[in-house]
Amino acid sequence: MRKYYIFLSAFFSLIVFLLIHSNCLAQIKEEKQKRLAGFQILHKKPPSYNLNSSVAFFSGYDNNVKLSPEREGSIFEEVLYSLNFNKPLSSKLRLLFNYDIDYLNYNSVPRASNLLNHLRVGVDKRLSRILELGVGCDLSDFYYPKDSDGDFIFSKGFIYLKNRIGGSSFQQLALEYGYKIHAARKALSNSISELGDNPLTDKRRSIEYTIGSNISPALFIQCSGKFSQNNSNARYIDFYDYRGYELSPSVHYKLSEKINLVGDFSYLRKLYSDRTINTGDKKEKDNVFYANTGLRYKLNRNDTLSFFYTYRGNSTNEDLEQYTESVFTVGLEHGF
Amino acid sequence: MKKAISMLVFVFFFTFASSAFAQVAKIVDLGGQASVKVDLSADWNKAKINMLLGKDAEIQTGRDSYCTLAFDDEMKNIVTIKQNSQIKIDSIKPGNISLQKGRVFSLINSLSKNEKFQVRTPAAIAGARGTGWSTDYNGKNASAKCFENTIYVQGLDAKGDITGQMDLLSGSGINIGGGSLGNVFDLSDEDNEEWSDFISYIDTLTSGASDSGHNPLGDLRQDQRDDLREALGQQRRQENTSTPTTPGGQERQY
Repeated sequence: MRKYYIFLSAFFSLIVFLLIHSNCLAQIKEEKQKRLAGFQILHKKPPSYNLNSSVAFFSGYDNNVKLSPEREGSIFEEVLYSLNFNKPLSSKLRLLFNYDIDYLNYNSVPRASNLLNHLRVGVDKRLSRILELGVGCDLSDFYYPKDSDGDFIFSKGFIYLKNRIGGSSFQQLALEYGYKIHAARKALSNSISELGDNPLTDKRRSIEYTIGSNISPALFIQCSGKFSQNNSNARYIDFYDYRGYELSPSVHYKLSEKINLVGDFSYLRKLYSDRTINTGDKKEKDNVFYANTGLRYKLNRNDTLSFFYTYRGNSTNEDLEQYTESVFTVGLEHGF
Repeated sequence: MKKAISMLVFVFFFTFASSAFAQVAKIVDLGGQASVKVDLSADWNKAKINMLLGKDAEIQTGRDSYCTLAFDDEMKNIVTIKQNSQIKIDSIKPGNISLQKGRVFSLINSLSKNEKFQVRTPAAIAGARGTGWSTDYNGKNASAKCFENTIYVQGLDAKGDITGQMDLLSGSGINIGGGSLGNVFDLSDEDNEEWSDFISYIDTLTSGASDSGHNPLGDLRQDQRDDLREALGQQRRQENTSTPTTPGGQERQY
C-alpha cells in the first residue's frame, strides 16, 4: 500500500512538473515572440530618404587658363547645380544618387569654356558596425561649346571599403576603373604630327587609400595616397601612358560657428612610360603641386560665401610642360 | 562717420541675429505620428520637418513613429526619439534633453570645448562630450548603452539629486533604478545591430559621404584641366618638330 502511495505521489509530481514545465515553455515562447515582435517594430526601417540640392555661383581670375609656359589669364564665371538623393533600400543597403551640371566660362579664352554633366549612382552596404562596402558608377560628359575637339565622355566604375574607427575616424580603400573617349580628337599614330582614324581613348585604373579623423570637434584632417595608371590608344611613344603616385593631405578647421577654413593639398609624381622630353632621350617626369586654401563663411542656414586661392604648378624635366597657375575665386552657394 | 556707424550697427545686428538663430534645434526627419509643443504654454501640434524648436519645446512620438532632431547646422549632433517616447528640450547649447519616457539614440560628434550633451531621465543622467549612445526610461528605471567612446552616467534619487556616477565604456550598458547604478553589462548583438541601423539611418540623413572628404567633381575638374593641358602640350610639340603635318593632322587653335 505504501509503495502504491509513493508511486501515486511520484506520478502526480511528474504530471505537475510536466504541466509547469510546459507552461513555462509556453510562457518563454510567448515572451520570446513578444520580444521578437518588439524587435521587428524597432527595426522596421522608416521610409525615409534624403533629397537636397544646391546652386552655386563662382567668379574669379585664373592667370593661366591653358596651363602652359606662356601664361594667358582670364576672368571666369562658374554656375553649378547639384542634386543629391539617397534612400535606404533595406536596413543595411542605401542607394546614392548625385547629379551635377556645371558651366565654366572663361571670358578671354572662350574656347576653354565648357559644360560638365555629371551623374554618379551607387549602393552602399553596411557589412557590420564598422565596415561599409560601396559600389557604383560615375559618368561625366564634357562639352566645349566653342571647341568640339575638346568634348569627351569619362565613365568610371568604383568599389570601396570603408572602415569606421571609433566615432570620429575612418579609413577607406577605393578601386576605380575608368574609360575616357573623345568625341572628335583622334589618337596619335606613328609620329607626333600624324593622327590615326580612331578617337583618342584612355583606360585608367587607380587604387586609393584614405584616412581621416576629426581630431577635435573643430579640426578634421585627412590624407590619401593614390596610385593610378593611364593607358591610352595613342601609338606614338605611348604619348599619354603614365603611372601616377599622388599624396593628398587636407585640413578643415572650424574657426567659429560661421567660419570654416579649408586647406587641400596634393603632390602628384607622374612618370610617363615612353614619352621622352622634347630635347633629348630622357623620359618625361612631372611633379604637379596643388594647393587650395580659403574659407567658407556661413551667412545663414542656407547660404555660404566662399573665398579661395588655388595654386597649381608643374615642375618637370620637359620645358614645354612647365607651368604655374594661380586662381582667385569668390563664390556664393545656396542650399535648398 | 555716419556711414561707419550704420555699417557697424548693421554688422552687429547681422551677427546677433545669426547667433540667436543658432539657438534652435531642427526637426530633420520624422515618421509616423509625432507631436510638438513649442513651449510650456502651447498646445500639442503635429510635428513637421524643418520645424525649429527652442528651449522648453516637447516632442512626443506614437507607436511605430520616430522624430530626429539636429542640434547644429552640419547635423553632427543628432538625437532620434524612438517610438512611444516623450522628451523635452531643456537647452540647446549645451544640448540638454529630458527623456520622460521611451528611448532616444544620440550621436554627438561636434561640441565646443567644455561643452557636454546630456540626456536626463528622472532616474539617471547620461551624457558625453562626443560619442554615441542610447538612453531608455520606462517610467521607473533607466538604462544607458554606450556604442562609441565613453559616456558618463549619473544615478538620480526621487528628488533629482545625484546618487552616484560612473563612466561607461564603448560596448557596455547599465541599468539604473531607485537611485542606484546597477551592474555593467555587455551589449548584445541586438543592441549593436540596432546601433548599426541608427548610424546607417543618420548617414542617409546627412548624405553619407560628408565625412569621406572625397569630392568627385573636384577630381573631374582637375582631370578636365589636365586633358586640356595635354592637348595643348601635344600641339606645342607638333609646333616644335620639323615633321610636316600629315593631311589627317588637326590642330587646336585657342
